[in-house]
Amino acid sequence: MLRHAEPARVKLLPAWAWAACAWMVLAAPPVRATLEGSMVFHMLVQLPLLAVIGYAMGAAWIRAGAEGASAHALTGVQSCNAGGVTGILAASFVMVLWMLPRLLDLARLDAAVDAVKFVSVPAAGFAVALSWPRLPVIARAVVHLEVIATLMRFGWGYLAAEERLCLAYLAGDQQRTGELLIWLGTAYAILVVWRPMFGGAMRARDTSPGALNTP
Amino acid sequence: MSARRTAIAATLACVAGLAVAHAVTDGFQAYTLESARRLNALRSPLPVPDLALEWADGSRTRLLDAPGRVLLVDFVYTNCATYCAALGSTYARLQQRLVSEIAVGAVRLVSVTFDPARDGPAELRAYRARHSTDPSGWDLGRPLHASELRGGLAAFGVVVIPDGMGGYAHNAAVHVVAPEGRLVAILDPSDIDGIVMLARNAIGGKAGHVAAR
Repeated sequence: MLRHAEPARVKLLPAWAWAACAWMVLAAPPVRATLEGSMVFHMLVQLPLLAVIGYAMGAAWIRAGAEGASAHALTGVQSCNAGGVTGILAASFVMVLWMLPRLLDLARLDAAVDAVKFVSVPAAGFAVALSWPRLPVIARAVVHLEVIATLMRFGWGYLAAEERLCLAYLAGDQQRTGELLIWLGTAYAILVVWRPMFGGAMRARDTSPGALNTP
Repeated sequence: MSARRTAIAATLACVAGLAVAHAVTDGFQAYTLESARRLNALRSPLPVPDLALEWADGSRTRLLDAPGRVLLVDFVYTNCATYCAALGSTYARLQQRLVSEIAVGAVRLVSVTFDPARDGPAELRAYRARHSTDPSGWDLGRPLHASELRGGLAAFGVVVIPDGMGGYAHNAAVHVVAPEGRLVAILDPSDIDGIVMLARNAIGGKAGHVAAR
């Protein structure tokens, strides 16, 4: 009888360590310079990556489970975060501020401001990781709406502006950023409504025996 | 307990967020760096650096060497097809509008090139000749030291970036420097009336009463 041995899963690093490595890679001067050299990369690659790094760390902390000091600290923090309200509010302020032209410029031109960004954006992702599981469904819907609205507002603002809003980036860059923001908002909207609108119906079709099997 | 703590924490988060937003936008007024620097010039004029320049006539002095004059400073490069052409025609018109003030030495138009490698005195003279038949009152200079140029651009708030086509993109504007050497206003090149008005105000030392735009 063939026994299939479980392939030994060697975990090189815990999840949070991967996130920390990714952060250090992003913070390295050549990577920073490349990503911040273009408005598209700065706003649509670097900022989301930083937020995801923070999110991964937050999610890892939650998964870490009941281990003494860390679990205590987590409960302490989450006691100020009933329903995920505080975390989502704080994260919203951070993300909206870093999309403003003035702060994008300052992050590109001033290393001190960039350092603040490298701490605050992952912190915002961290806060979202702690808060999202606690958000009731209606609040989640509100957050989705706000994200879509913000992406559209900023996208349209950058696309339709008659002048260069960012001094560190060219006008063509600004237009492409605006377009991509609008596409991103659209894609986000589609993703958000897909499962509620279509996912349930497909599952019903699959499970009903002898019913019309529409592919 | 948790609900109350959350309410307090959430309120604090909102207040802190609004406070930070207020601070980084100069009271929700300046969302771009350009509007921020224009607002700052009006609210708190700072001294400008005394750049060492080689002028278009070949002489070498410093920007503020002749005190007691209002300087209208702009930053250009002579190969520019867009913004600097607009600035050039603006300066030509300013020469005409401020002819009497220039004649008595109360106002001086200064164009500084931020491309000293390619813009020597000959190129600067050619640039002026493209826009104006009269060289009086409009001096053009090239910074002698690269480090001073960087400091000068930073002090005036001018950001120059390569435009991917061998040229530069920059925030073109006319900078009004009062006789005591402070940057009191930054204006659009198209706002000729505003520039003339501010220049005349600054002559009499009335720069402090410049109407905020």
